[in-house]
Amino acid sequence: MAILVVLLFSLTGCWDQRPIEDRAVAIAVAVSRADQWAFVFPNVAVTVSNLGQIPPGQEFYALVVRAQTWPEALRRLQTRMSRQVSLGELQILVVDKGLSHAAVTRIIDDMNTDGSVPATFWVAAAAQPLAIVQLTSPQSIVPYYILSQYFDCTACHALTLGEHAWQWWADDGTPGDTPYLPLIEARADSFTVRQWMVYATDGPPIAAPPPITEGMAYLLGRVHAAVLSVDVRGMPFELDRVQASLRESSHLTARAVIARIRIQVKGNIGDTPPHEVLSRALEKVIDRAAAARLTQLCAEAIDWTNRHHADPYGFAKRAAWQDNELAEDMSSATLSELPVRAHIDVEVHVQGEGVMR
Amino acid sequence: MVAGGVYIWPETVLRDAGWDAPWSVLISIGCALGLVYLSASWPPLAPGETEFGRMRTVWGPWRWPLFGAMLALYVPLDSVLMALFSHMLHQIFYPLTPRWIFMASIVAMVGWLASAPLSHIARNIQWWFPLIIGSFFLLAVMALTHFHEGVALMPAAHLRLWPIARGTVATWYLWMQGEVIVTVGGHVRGASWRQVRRWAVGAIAFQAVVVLIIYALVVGTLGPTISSTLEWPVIYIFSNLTVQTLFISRPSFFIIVAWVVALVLYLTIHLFVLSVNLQDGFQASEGYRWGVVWGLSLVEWILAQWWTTPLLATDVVIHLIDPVALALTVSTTILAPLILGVRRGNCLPRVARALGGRNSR
Repeated sequence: MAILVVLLFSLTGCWDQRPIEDRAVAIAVAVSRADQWAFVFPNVAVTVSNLGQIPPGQEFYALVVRAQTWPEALRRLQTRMSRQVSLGELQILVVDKGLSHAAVTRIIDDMNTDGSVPATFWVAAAAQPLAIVQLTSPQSIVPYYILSQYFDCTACHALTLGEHAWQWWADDGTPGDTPYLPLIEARADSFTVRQWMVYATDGPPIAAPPPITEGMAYLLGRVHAAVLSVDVRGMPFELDRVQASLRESSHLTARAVIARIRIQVKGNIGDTPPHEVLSRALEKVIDRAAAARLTQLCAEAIDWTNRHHADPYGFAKRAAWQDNELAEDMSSATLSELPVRAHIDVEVHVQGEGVMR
Repeated sequence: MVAGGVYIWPETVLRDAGWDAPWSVLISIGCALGLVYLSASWPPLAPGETEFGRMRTVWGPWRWPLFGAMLALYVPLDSVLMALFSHMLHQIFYPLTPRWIFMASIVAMVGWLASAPLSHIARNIQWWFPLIIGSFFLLAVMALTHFHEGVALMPAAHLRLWPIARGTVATWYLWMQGEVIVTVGGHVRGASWRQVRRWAVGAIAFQAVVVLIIYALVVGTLGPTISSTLEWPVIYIFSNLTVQTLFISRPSFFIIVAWVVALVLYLTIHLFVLSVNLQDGFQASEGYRWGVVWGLSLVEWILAQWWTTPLLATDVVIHLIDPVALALTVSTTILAPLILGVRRGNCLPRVARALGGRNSR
C-alpha cells in the first residue's frame, strides 16, 4: 500500500501535464537574414464545426521576433505569448537562402540540443522565408500545413528533395560530407521546389540549377518517379515513372576521391512521336540513349559540385570510413573539398506499356 | 540484461574505439559468449544452492573479498544506470518532474519485486519479455527506413590495437548479468547444468543480436562520427520516427513503457541475486533477505544522487566499473574451474569433462 501511495504521487502526469488549451503549438519557424524569426501557430479558434467559415488566411497566425540565436528567439517569443510555446510538433524550419553555412549550422545545432524539439522537422531555404511560412492554400486546411505536407508526400514528387533536421545535422557533422537543403521558390499564390541549396565548407551557399539538382538526385538515390526526355534518331521520347537505384564504392587517395557509381534505372515510355511503333529493338535504342543522357546529367552534377568544392554525395565520407589511416591525416575541410573522380555506369531498362505492347 | 545500459549504447564504444568500433563489438560478443560458457561449467562440480555457496568450495575464505568486490561493482553500476535512466526521462520526456521522483518510483518497484520469491520474479519476466522485445523489434523495423550507410558498419581497414582494446572494455557493462546464471541455474526445475548452459549461451547470443541491431541502426543511420556525439543514440534514432497514418504521430512512445519495465526487471534481478547470496552466506532468514533488498535499494538510491550529470554517470560506468568488472569476471571465471580441478585432483580430465558438459548435473 505504501508503495502504491508513493507511485500515485510520483506519477509524472502530476508534474509535466499541460492541457492543450494552455499550449501554443508552433508548426513552422522561419529565419531571415535580418535576424527576424517568424513562428507560425494554428488558429485556436478553428474547430471542426466552424472550419468551413474561416478563410484560409486565418487558419494560421504568425508572430515575428528579432533575435540572434534560437534560445533568444524563444525567450522573446514567450514574452509575447499568453500560452506556453510548445515545439514538440514543429513541422518545418525555413531559413533565408542568404544565411551562411555557419549560421544555418548554429540554428539547427541549437534546436537539436534543445531537447524539446524532435529533429523530425523538415528544413528548407527560401528567398523570403517569413512570407513563405505564412503562405496558406486551399490545398491544405488546419491542422494540416501545406509546406510540411508537401515534403511529407514523398510519393508525390519525381525527386525527393526534402531534408529532415537530423539528416542535415548528420551530414553537416560528418567529415567528407556537404549538407544541402531544398530551395522553396514563391510562385504567385503558391510555391515550387526544384533545386537544392548546397552548403560547401567555404563560401556562401549556392543554388544548384535544376538540371544539376536532377543529376545530384540520381547520385543520391532520390529519384522515385521522374520524367526523362531523350532524343532518338531526331525524335523525342518521354520516359515517365523513372526509378533509379544506386550502388557505389569509393576509395581515398591523397588528392582525390575515386568513386565507382552504378545506377540502374527502370521506366516506362510515356510519350512517343506520332505513328511511331515501339519494338523491342527500339526500346533498346531508347535504353542506350537514356543511359547516355543520365550519364551526362550525373557527370555534369559531379563537375558542378567539384567546382564548388562540395561533396553532397558523401563519397569522401564513405572512403574515409574505410581508409582511416589516410583520412586521419586530413582535416574535415580538406576531406569535404577533395575532388571526386567518378566512373559512372548507367543501365536503363524501359518498356512501353498498355496497348502499345 | 541489455536493458540496463541500452540508452548510452553505442556511444561508449564509438567514443573509445572510433572507426575500429566494429572490431571491439565483435570481440566483446565473443568474450561474453566464452565467459558465460565457462561460468556455467564449474557450478555442477561444486556443491551449494547459490553462487556464494559454491564459491565456498572453490575459493575458501577468499570468497568473502571476492563477493564483496562483486557487491562493490553491482551496487554502483545499478545506481549509475538508474541515474542515467532518470536523466534520460528528465531531459527528453518529463523536464518538469524532479529526477529524484523517477528514482524513488523505480526503487520502490524494485524493492517490492526483489523481495518476492524467485518464481514470482520469473513469472513477471516471462510476462513482460515478449512485450518489451516486441515493441523494440517493431520500432527497429520502422527505423530501418532511415538506414542508408551500410559502409559505416564495415570495420576500418587499418587495425589499431589500443582503441580496439579500449572499445572492448567500454562495452562490458552490457554483459554484466549479475551472476544470475550461476546463482539461479541450479533452481531451474528439471534441467541439467548442460541444458542451463545452452540456454545461457543462447540468451547471450540473443542479447548480442539486440546489441548489434542497435549498433547497426544508429551507425547505419547517422554514421560513426556523429553517433559518438549523442548521449542517448538509440533514443534519438527512435524519436526520429514519425507515422502519418495512425492516431499517434510518434511511435517511439511505445518503447518508453517497455523500457521502464525492462530497467525495473534488470535491477530487480541484480538485487535478488545479491540478496539471496548474502542470505546463503550468513545462513540467514527470509526477513534478513528483505532487509538486504531494501537496504541495498536505499544505498543505490542515495548513490544515484551523486551522478549529477549523464556525462559523469557514463564516465563512471565506462572508465571505472567496466575495466574492474572485466578483469574480475575474466580472472574468476577462468580460475574457478581450474582451482576446482586441482583441489579434486586429476585436474585436466575433470575440467575437460565439465567444459564438455558430460557427467554434469
